[in-house]
Amino acid sequence: GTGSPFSRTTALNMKVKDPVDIETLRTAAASKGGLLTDELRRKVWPKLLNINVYDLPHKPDLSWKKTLLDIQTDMKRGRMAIAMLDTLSNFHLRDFMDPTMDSTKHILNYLMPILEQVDAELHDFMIRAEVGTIFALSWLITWYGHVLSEFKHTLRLYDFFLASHPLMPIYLAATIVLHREKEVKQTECDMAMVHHLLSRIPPDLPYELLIGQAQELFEQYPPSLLAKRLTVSSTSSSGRIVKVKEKKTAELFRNHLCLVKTCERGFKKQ
Amino acid sequence: MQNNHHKERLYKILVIGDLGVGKTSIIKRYVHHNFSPNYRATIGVDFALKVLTWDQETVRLQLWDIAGQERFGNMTRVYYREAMGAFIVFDVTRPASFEAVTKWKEDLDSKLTLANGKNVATVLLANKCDQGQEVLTNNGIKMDQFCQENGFVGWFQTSAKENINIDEAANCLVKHIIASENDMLQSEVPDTINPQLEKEKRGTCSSCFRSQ
Repeated sequence: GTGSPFSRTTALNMKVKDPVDIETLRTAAASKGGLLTDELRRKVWPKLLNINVYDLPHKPDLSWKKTLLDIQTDMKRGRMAIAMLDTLSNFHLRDFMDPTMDSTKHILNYLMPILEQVDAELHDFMIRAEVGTIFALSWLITWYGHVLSEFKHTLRLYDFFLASHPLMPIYLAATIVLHREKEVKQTECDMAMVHHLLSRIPPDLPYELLIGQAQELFEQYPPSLLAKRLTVSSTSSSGRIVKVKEKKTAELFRNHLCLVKTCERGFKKQ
Repeated sequence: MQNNHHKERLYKILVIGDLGVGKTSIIKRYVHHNFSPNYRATIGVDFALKVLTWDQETVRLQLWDIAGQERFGNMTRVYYREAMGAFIVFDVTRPASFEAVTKWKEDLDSKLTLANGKNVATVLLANKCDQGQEVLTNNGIKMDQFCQENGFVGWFQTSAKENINIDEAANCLVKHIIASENDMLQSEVPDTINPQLEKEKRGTCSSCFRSQ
């Protein structure tokens, strides 16, 4: 059992003490309720990314510094958020950092094959509507921060994504579409109508349920299995631009303000 | 096509232009009659529906808000399909966004043509005119000339914030869309008669240009 939130918080606090068991933290972050408090998030998120909080770079590299100047008025210190975003941009969010959208498109291409496996009728409906997958673009790039109205839901998803495979956000996208299956099928089979419906995330989605379903989908239809079904060839990972460009950095910051706000105590709460 | 004046018209209109020029705000003002000073970049595409009464007909406008970021360019191509008109927006306080206008126009024309091979009716919007920095657009004659050279059917100084000229610009675009649609219908089916609508030539509608 998971126990009361209070005892879970205490238990989690114990687990954060060094040496940490990353697997345990990962499980906690992905399990029901996630990491529960901002205090815990500040401690656990860096550990999930393998960042040593006592060894943060004092001078962030220039591209970060420039970005920081833009928002520094609101923020006393940004080293933790910077270190985390830096790591994320090279790992979980790496595909979204390319100057072109090829890698992002590649990830979006996983969506329809997942739907096809679970609900062929829904899949065919969406194919007939020619809706494409751009409705899920902002979900991926911003880890849903762009579309969720409630900050607590965004935080919960960050717990989940930080503890998961980088492709997990597309599995969650699939569970959201599947969850709305009836609504979708009742809509006029037209690109505009279906795009309009899907690009708006209802305010009351059962996230704990959807997170569980996304994990199940991931286990049942792992990326390796789906990769065979992808129609569009991807750009190879070699030769990807690793160096984060200034412009992209600013965008990354904007798209993941949730993380910045949570990691930096000095940052004014929403 | 015989009950032409009973038919409900649906037009798809694209709203394009550089990042942060106010595309989303213009649509919001036009459709929802409000303005929010908080900026949030559009990722991908979005659309809103506006219903108009036009010569006793119902006209539905599907306004497609296309993200201004260049790297989304190829992804949003599919959403250009079947559009009948476009607004290209720039920010009067940012000359670079005006310089990009011709690029957006060329891009639009390369992605989209009407069934008769003509380009879709496009209106240029000089947005944020409430900011008092209309250096770019002070010379109305030059702007008119720019529009004619680049195939815009008209231009307007707009402000989504202060609700200036948004309705006027939309009416101008709708008028041209209907005219070009009638043009096409007439060239396709020579005996079709549209008694209610004056036939207009595209590209020379000086009445749409804002009088100074």
